[in-house]
Amino acid sequence: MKEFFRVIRESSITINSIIFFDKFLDTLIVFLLIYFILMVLDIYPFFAILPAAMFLIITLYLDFEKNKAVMIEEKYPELHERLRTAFDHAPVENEVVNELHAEVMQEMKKVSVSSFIDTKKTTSKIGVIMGLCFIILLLAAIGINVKLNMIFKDSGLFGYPSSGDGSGSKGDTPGAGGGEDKNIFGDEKVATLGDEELQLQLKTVSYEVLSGNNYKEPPDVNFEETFPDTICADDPQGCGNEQYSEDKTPVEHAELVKNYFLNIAK
Amino acid sequence: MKNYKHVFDTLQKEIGKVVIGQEAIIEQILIAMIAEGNALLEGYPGLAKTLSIRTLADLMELKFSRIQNTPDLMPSDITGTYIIEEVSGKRQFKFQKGPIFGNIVLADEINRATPKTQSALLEAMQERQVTVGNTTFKLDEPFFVLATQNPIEQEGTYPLPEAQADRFLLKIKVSYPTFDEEQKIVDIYTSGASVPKMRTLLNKQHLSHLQSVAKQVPIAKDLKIKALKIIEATRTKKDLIQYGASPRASIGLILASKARALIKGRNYVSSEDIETLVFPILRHRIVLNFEAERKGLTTDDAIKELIKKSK
Repeated sequence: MKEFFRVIRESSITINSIIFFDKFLDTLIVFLLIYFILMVLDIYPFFAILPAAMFLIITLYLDFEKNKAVMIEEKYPELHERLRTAFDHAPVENEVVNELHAEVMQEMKKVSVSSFIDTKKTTSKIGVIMGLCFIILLLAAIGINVKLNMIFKDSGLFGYPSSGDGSGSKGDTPGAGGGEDKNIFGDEKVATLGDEELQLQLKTVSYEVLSGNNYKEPPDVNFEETFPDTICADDPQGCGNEQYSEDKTPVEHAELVKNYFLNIAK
Repeated sequence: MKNYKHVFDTLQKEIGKVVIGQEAIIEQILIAMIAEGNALLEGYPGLAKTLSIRTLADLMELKFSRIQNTPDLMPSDITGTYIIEEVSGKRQFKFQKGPIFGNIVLADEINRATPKTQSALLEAMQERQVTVGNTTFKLDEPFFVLATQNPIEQEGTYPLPEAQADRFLLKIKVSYPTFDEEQKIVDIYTSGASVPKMRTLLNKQHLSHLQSVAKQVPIAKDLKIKALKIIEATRTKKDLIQYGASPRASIGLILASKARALIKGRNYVSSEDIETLVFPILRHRIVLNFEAERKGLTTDDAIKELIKKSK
């Protein structure tokens, strides 16, 4: 009887592990799908954890409640009705039940874990997960999203003013009125760089700041050994003057500076 | 369990030497005996009902007695009565046991006996004892009543009330043999060959052991629930059934399924056992309503409907 209890325990643990793995893959798919949708709608995407966690809990609960003996019998028809009868009468000891337990334990040796794993299904789920990850990363890099305020801008829904409504004020809620929503962002300022107005874009996913201005890369200039002509244009001797080619610091001054730093180091 | 199967296979083989065909009937009678129940056999005359029961009694070394029911049969003809006996010049009353004091009692054409006589028999079936006057006599174990009735003759008969029919575990329908079986019957009984002698295969102790082993056969929880749901459906399916089966039917179905599993050499009850036995268990325990009878449905049709709904 103890042996039979061990068989029941092992088979239950094994099947529960397989169920957990399968449901975990399903949960990942659900999470990635919801993450993708939230990302596109420009909503904080990690809210997707909540529905995914609930999905995992509910599906695990429902699947763990299933009769493990029936699940094994579906894969191994020779155990049909025998296994569940043996499981239900595990603590019973009599001539007939003992014989049933012995027969079932013998048959259970032929049961393999791999028969409960649907390779095609698992592979396709992993493929879907990888595909979804790729799409999310791609969209995050490109920065495609549909802002909600663009959708509902003139609809009059969710506090947005309807088109044709001059004031657009709908109460004291910040952002409820069309003319009042600017206050929460403060005074308008325009970032400038010199005379040029800066066009900056903040990427919400990667938090990078991209510049919309077209700046040219500085041209490569090769400096020659001597200074450029513009620097020594005022000198009558021009750039040929030795002071532009070498460092003319007196040796005593160089020694002085060197000893100063040595003493500081001590 | 294979040994038990061998025993029953041998039993069937031995009976098959005398009773041609009717394997299903013999099996159901054996189920009733192993489940410690009584059986009601219904069939036309000449279908080897009495022969099957008598042959079975011979194989099991059990005391066989027969009651031929007629309208003038009295209860004392069944239970027994006191007779005056003279012993050593002294007269005294002595109880003369009736045919009920057997191990296998064949009550032929039970529907021909009056309700009073039927109740005397049925009381003995239920209580396993007989009360005559102020004295109670215990019946010998094992005790089975195998009653027969003829569906043709309805005039001058007293059909068993439903409450009394409920005491029978199974109602077995005996049908005609097949053409090949009938050919065999004709060959045996018209050739002048002697009927082969039966050898005893089981005795009371063996039968008692089989009865206790049958109770040990396990049944899965979902199958038990399925059986109970079928019985419960007889009480709720008001569009077909006016009166449903009692918990006696639930007990009977489970016990009979276990007995059938033992006979088949299985150490577990299968859904096939339940679906096969639900017919003889329920056909005498349910009463169809007017609508079902108007449509020409039988109790077996109603039971088929219940099984379909339970799947």
